[in-house]
Amino acid sequence: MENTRTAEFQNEIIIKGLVKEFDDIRAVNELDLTIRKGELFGFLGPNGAGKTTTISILCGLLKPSEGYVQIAGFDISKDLAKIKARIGFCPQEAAFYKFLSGKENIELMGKLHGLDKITLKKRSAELLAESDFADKARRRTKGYSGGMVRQLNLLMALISDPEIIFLDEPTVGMDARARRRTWEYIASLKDKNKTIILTTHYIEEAESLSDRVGIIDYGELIALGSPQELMEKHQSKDLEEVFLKITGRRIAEGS
Amino acid sequence: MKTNKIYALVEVELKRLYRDPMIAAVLLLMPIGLTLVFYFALGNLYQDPARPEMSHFEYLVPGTMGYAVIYMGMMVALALCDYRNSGILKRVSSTPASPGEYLGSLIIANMVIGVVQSLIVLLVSVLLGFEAQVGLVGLVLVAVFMGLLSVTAVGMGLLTATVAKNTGAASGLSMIFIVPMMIFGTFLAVFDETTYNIARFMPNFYATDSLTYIFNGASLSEPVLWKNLLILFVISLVIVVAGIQLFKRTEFR
Repeated sequence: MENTRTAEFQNEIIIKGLVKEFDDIRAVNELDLTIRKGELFGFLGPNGAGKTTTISILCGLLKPSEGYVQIAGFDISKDLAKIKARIGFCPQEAAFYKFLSGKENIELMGKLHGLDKITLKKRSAELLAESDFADKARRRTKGYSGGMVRQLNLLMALISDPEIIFLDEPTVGMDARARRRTWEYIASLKDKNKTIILTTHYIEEAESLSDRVGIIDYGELIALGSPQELMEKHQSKDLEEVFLKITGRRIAEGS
Repeated sequence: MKTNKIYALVEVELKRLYRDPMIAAVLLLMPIGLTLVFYFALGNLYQDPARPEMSHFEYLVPGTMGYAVIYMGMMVALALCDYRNSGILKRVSSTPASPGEYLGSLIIANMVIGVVQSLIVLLVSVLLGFEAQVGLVGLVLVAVFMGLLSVTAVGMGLLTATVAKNTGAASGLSMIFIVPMMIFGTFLAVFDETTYNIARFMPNFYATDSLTYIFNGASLSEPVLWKNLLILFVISLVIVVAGIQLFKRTEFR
């Protein structure tokens, strides 16, 4: 039943007047944002700015207090299951079963997305080969290093070959080389016409990967544009300087 | 053929049993240890003057089976707190698997575990000399009672995990329901009328009472068995539905 899907959509994600309140705290405040199909969108903000809350709403983990959200042509309030079938979510935490191997964790996500056995096997083999993770994936995850944890987290989000990928701090804890390799991998996903929403504390990561960047603070979108546009507009040499100018603090500082 | 989401999640829960040595020790070795302790420490504690042919250990076997199952509620609460804190619940919630499928898989896996645990107690008890006058149909009925009691234990685990924010709090809170059930539901034989009446408020009482009848060779058409089954069914349904609703409200928003 695809009849509720908006027939034509160039914009993969449409957010209008999004509000999320927790008791007396307004974590997201009247957020309006549109993310295009095939775009890699960097979502930046200081700690507690509302990034993770927004991502959690888009992934269906939290219900919005107010506002309209459309993802892949579906209204999140009506067709959440259809949206979940089309997204891959890579959370900040090492969110997998420690008593399973990496491969078992990856395949579990495929099963929960309803992949049939043949597709699952094929997709899992492809994913492990292209990410150079096949050997590591045979091991139980309990002894994984920080970099391996991040890599597994990412692959679990990709097993279902989602249209839209949410990456919440995908390179935290990785060494510089592993981080570079992951950047290349994320960039290759963009080449496959995936829509990617990336939150990160590494501003150079957002600057080098993103087509556009949105900066959120106190639940409100305070800047939007390509890294180049933002640097020109704020007369800054890099995105970090833009960030400091408009938020008044470094990205990892509390609000 | 689509791979079944519930089956996949049940498989994971069962793998946890033999992959995690701590869980394996608690869930599989605990029933053996418990039976041995009750046999050696309490086996001759009391002799019912009305039933001189029956040792105290024989009285304890049905209660021990129920207790092994109820204890599982704590393991469910601990697992859920761990899954929540490590982000696994969040991750599963972002997939098309519904909260019903996730929690349903938890119930099914733990029903299997509960029945196996209680059968381990029964097997060890038989090896220690317990004479169960029960046939295959009676054993099936025993499994049904233990399965229903497992559902109750999962419900209690869900309620505990809803309130407890970490595994430490979960193990402490679990004792609130485990200890009364251990005392009132397991040590049934030493009760006077007052404590016997208190025991009627414990879900495992209805399983213990029925298993005592079944193991003593009661006919399966005995009305008390079916009355107990109905009561236990209603209790397990109420507890598990309450547990699912409250847990869903906090974790699957």
